[in-house]
Amino acid sequence: MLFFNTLKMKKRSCTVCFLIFIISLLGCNKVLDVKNVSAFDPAKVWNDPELALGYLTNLYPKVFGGWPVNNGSNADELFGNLGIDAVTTSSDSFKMWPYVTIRNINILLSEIDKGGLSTSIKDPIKGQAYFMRAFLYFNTVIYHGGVPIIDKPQEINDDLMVRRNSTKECFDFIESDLQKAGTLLPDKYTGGNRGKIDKATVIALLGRVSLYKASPQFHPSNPYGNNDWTKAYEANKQAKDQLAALGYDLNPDYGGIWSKTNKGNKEVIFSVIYKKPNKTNGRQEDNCRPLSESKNSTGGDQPIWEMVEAYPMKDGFQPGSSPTYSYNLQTYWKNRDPRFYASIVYNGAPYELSGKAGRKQYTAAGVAHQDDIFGPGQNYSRTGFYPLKGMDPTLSQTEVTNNETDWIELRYAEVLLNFAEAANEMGKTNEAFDILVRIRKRAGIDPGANNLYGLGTNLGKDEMRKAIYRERRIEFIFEGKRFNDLRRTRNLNEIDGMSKNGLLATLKEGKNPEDGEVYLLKPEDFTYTVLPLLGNGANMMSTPNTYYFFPIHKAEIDKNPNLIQNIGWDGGTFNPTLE
Amino acid sequence: MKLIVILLIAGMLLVSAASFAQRVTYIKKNTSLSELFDEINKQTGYGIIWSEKKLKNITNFDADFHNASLETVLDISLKNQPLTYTIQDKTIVIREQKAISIIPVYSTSVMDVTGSIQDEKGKPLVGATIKVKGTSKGAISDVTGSFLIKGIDEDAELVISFLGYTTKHIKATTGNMMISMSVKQNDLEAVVVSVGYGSLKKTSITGAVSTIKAKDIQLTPASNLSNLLAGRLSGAQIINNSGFVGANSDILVRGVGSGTGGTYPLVVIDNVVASRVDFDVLDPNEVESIALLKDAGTAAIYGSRAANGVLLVKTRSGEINQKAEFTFKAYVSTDRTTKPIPAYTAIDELIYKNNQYKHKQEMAGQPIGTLPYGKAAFDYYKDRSYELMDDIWQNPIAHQYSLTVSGGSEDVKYFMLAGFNEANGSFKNTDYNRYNFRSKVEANVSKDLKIGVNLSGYRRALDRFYWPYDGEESQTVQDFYRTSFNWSRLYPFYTKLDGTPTDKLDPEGFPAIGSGGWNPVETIYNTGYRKIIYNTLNGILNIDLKIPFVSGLSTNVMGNYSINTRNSKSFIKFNKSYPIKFKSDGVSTRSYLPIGLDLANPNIHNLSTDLETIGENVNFVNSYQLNWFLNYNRSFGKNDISANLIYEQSEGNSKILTGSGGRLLSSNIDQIFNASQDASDRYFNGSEGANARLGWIGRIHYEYDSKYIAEFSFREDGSYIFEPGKRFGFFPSASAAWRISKESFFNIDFIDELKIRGSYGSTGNDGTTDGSIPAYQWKNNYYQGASYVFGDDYRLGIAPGTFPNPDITWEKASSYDVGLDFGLFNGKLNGELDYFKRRISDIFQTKVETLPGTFGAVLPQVNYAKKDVNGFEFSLQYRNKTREISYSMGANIGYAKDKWVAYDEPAGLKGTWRSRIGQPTNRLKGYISEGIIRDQNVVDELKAKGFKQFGRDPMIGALLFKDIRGANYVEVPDGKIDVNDETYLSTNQIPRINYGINLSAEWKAIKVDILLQGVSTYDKIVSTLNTVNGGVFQFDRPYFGLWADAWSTENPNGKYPKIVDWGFEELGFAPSSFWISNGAYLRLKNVNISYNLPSKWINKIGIKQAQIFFTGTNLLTFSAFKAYDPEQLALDSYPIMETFTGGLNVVF
Repeated sequence: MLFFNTLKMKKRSCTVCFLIFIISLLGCNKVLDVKNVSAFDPAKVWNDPELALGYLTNLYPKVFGGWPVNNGSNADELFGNLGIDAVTTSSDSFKMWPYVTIRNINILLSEIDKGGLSTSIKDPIKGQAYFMRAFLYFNTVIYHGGVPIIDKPQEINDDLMVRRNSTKECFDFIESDLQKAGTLLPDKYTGGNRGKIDKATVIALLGRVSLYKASPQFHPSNPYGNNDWTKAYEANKQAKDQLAALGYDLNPDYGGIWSKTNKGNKEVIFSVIYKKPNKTNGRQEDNCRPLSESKNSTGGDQPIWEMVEAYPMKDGFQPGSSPTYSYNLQTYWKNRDPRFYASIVYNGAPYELSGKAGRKQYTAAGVAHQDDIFGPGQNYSRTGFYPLKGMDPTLSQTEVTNNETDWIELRYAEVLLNFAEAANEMGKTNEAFDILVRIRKRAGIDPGANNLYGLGTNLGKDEMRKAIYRERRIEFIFEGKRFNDLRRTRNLNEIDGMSKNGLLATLKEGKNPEDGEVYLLKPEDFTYTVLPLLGNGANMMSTPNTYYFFPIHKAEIDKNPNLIQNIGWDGGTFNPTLE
Repeated sequence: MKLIVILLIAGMLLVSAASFAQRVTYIKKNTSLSELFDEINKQTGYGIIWSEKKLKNITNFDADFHNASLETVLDISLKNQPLTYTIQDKTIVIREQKAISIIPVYSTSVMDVTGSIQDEKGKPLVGATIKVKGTSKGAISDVTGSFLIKGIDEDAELVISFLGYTTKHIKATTGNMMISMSVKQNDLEAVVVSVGYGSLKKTSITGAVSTIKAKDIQLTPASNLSNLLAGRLSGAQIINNSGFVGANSDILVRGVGSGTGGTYPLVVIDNVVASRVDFDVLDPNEVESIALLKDAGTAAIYGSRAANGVLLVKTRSGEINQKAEFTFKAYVSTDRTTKPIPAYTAIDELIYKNNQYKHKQEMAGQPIGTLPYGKAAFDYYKDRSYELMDDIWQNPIAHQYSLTVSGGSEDVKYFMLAGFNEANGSFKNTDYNRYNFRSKVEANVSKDLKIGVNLSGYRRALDRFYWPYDGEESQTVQDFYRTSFNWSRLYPFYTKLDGTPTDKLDPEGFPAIGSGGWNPVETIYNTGYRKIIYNTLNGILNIDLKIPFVSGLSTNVMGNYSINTRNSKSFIKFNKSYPIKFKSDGVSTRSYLPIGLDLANPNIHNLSTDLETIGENVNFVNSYQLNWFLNYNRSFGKNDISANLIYEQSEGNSKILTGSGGRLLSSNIDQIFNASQDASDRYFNGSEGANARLGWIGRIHYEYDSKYIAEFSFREDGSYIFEPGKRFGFFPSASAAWRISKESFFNIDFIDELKIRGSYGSTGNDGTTDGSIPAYQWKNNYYQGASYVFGDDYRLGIAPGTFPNPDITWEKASSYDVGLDFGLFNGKLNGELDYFKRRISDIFQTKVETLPGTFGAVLPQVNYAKKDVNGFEFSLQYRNKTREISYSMGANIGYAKDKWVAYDEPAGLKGTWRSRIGQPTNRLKGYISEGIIRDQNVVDELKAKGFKQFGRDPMIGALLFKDIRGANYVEVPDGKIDVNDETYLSTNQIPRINYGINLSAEWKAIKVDILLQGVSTYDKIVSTLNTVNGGVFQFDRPYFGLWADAWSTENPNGKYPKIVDWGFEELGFAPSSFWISNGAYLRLKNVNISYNLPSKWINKIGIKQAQIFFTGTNLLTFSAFKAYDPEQLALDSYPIMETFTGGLNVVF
């Protein structure tokens, strides 16, 4: 009986266990309070200097991209075409609407003062944020004209059906943000802080902004005599001088500006730094190299024949008009502006990729690697030329994406040329002349007997303007400035209807193609023919005058009928100029 | 976790508390044996067979049993009586004791009957009831099927019954009677169907449930269970896009499921919410049944995750009092593509390239000049064509073995399985294998307490060559297929130093490239691997307790804990090959004659990794689910009530760690110690996640006289995803059924069963099954953002998350279902018909269309859109048998179509053709093609009118599209074709009708099953992986096979537009009606022939049953869609396979 009783006891105790267990189950009402283990607590971000800086850090890559590879396709620089109707109100091309990043900047500017950070921590962070906002608005305004100014993070219940501010209001806002940034930032960041926006950056951008503001794009009826040129001159003069005072100058060697061993040289005002192993290939070297020494893709930044042709001769005169150097198609590569050799690889040019000593680049069928040939019936998206500027030939084929070339957003040469342009419009042609000489001298152009660097004497204002435009085209190849310069100066007609050409190289009779394998063939062992480029899409550029201001995306207008479309697009009535 | 420990302790306590024997407590003075027997029956559930007559003379006695074993009770009470007993399978038979038997006084002579009961196949039937008609005598067949009944009249009639078998009346004879029982054709009363948190008789079901019995799929091979469901589950569309080894199928229940995110139903295995992978890796041999809960009436009990339906799986169990039965199954299968991979020769490629060049020059107005390939090239390639597939493609072979054992004693039953599946893929160096086991033991601890342990696990390994451009989990390697099947035929993959083509086995050969940036044969054999190994262990503990004091009340607790790990290891070696040097033939502009190999300039493709690398990725996931059930089951007269109250709680957490080491010292060692120790060559990352949910579930099921059935259920479901206070949702359902055939007024002879049913219910989708709705959207979160370099410092950034939406809640689906079930002609013909209507509301949508972009926030998802789905399902099954042949035929068909009721789109869109409102989700959009322009006059006329297509002049050999609109979608043709001229070409981008037909016949030992499966009301557009919405491009790996029949001056009747270049809409690049054809197909999905070896051969060696079978899958397809297999995703995606299988199934 005792045995039975024990069993009974046990059974009772189990039932009790069971009941306790069930009750304990029902008591678990905290189960759903799961901590979010993958997020930062927003409350901490504005009280911790490192986290606040982290917030700012995240904005940088959103605002500043890498090299504008293939941007020159839109102009007379690179392979590729803007065909008919490349821009429409409903296509995504040439639409700038960076309000997501602007909101994130606005969050910083409105939240940071709610936290407990000291002024010395907060001020530079705010200064950088103001600059970024100005930079984004500026890029947007030169696309579309005036856009809605949003200067604080909107709440969902605010009136979101905002209207476009006038182009003038936008420029004022940009300038005001830049002024604020200037007061909050130190003069110059170096060392571990290099790559951060500093006061020098602000000054340089103010110059760029004022140049655009004065330019024909915004003053169609009074392109050269409008009052904004005065401000442009002042701002750029200030930039030129103040930056010089801070130690900025031209790098002695044009090609060396982008050298990975010469980072942060005195010409660099603001750059996006690339560094192994985490942030590399802003230059998209894998896309720009010849495929035989790259991987996956090629065809990026392929200069067209017209671009090659635009380079002056070594004495600064245009090809054909040089008193010293004769020019013809079969010797086109000889005696050119040294910037040509620093920027472009041509058939037979040395190109010691992957560290291959003595390697030359060929583009001719039968000599070049099958993947690198330009010619009829061969690969598409080739022009017979490859880019050199910013490339790192030492990289092996497998590590081609490890290019560490910085993207220089603002360099002193631009400040100088911006100044030259404003000076010329103010009638100070001599000041402009001095700048061009500086630029050409650094480029390595022969000074010539009269130290005119091929520029000629007593240039008039109009001639000087053209010279400056030409200089910018050469100086800034692959830097994504040409298309916007054509728009800024209202010169899109120069490329409207243009058909682009490449250069076909053919090995001369009697030459042995196998000599190419040991790089014995020279450029003069080939004959050259200019050949139209046949791409996938349009074969002719179309850049109508409506492209001086791109339309607001139709989807945005559909969502917000208060947005008025630009004149010239879908019957819009908004005037994007400053007139 | 704490709860799990308690659960385990509680379980152990309970196990130790009692022996496994049946116990009886009975204390009463002056009681009779029959009273005692009643009590034993009540307490133990054991049946007792005795003759009232024989007990008549037994005197009463005093009983005093405290928790005594059954045997003790019987021994003591019968000790002084002329009686003895035997216990067999829960039945106690009381017999007269021979020694003191009193010779009975009968008018007729008596005899003893012995016999054995068998099923149709001669297999013993255990537990059949044998009764002597008109008496209370009887017996239960034992494990050998034998029985003995003593002392019955000579002319007695035996009534033998067994669940699921036709009851048999037979005259008793002397000698050993061999009684064969036949299966009832369809005994609806006996069919039990799984429903959420329980099971019901088929006749009691009030909602829409499709079921599959395991035996229907056991002989069909498949590396994934989901692939077996096609054509077998009405109301489900099984989409099989790839025949790759280990690939699974998508399941779509009743058309488009939830509004956003996935469409896969919630998977529940043995009451535990599981993942889709868990379902896919189940071995068909461990499955007892699969049920698909289609309507909200049945699915609502799963609450906020059940909007796409619920797939319920029940695994097999052993049986009480069954001798151990082993089953061994083995099969081997081989695959090949259902359609040959598009073939073409080097010559086709030369023609293609010449035409392309010619047309390009023409288009640019340039002189044609010399063609890339001249006559010499054509002569050279006349008998040369380097077929890549010859080197890397194979017909895959798969093996599967499984061994199961099941059985049970009086108190314990068990089922165990060990399985192994191994397969290789069609690309060489792709392998798959799986090991799995299940061990399920259930024990009656006491008459009130049952404990069960269900342990299962699997190990799965996918091993293939390294190819980073297909996702790690991609089961199709479709990117690799896309790049390889149309590889150029012009160049060898291996050559000797002098350029002579050779193969990879030649010691003098080198990997070579003639075109492209890499050597595809090397990729398969020599560029490393990616191995993914999954390990899962899943344990379920069940404790069932009958609550002693309230009749019909029981409670149980179920605890589940599962551990999943996944490890993916990548060994990445560069693809190295050497450029072939070519010489010119003197005429052609392209050189192609190999003259050597450029060893100095190897071509190295780094597979998007800077360094040769070893990468490791590990996931740990563990989760538990805990359920407490309170069940009530009682009958009062004609009223049957069952009710459940259930609490469910689950939590899970996960951790992912990834790392790699690069710059390998040797390219041939796949270990991390072989990687550089330079920190910059090493990489590490990881994250953690956690989730939790809980719910209260209730259900009441009421039946009156088995005629009127009503059910109500609810779930109060809580999820961690949402804001406190908004975490719980209430999901009710109500349903009812009326079995008209049970009514007394219903007397139509040939109708056995007629039931009308209707249900309404509400379910939800919180996006957790597919991750489409991230957690914590209700609050402000800052996440790791983009990093950036300052100085030399790569600095971490922080980014705000999506704009919070505190109101976020789950998507809701409410659905109505009316159905009719019928059974005719003695159960020979059965059918079900359902009509349903479903409204999905609160569909998550990111309201980008109506919120200005100037707001600037990445908006959260809001519960906004609404969608309706309507459809019907019908299934019919006919079974019959003649003397020798039994056969069955069945068919099922389902139709479903959805339409948007509310959708976030700009106001201007409403009512226009671009609006989604009133339209289904899956539509085909494109241009209306008027065919290929073959007449230059047409071109000239169009040109004269200034007609342009995409800014280009019309071209001969190109498609002519119909001009239907002008700029900004104005409904006035403007003489040019551009995006404004696109329109919707079909609303049937997915099949609206899915059907299956099965035929089965059995003659003697041979059985044949045939399954046909098809879809209809389906428009399919020819597409490629680069042009997913339709259209085929021409450049960059062109489809030479297809373009071989392109228009050219030499082939003016070519079927396809002329060849120029990539990106030209009018040359086939854009989706258009040109590429659309009827995608309906009917396919011979499965043919299964099995043969049972004669028992006389096998019984001698101790085998009860042996069956050999042959199965063919995807044998024939009928379809108007010819470009590729109608189930294949795209022209260049991995092909669908047909499979041939032979196997053996042995029971011993």
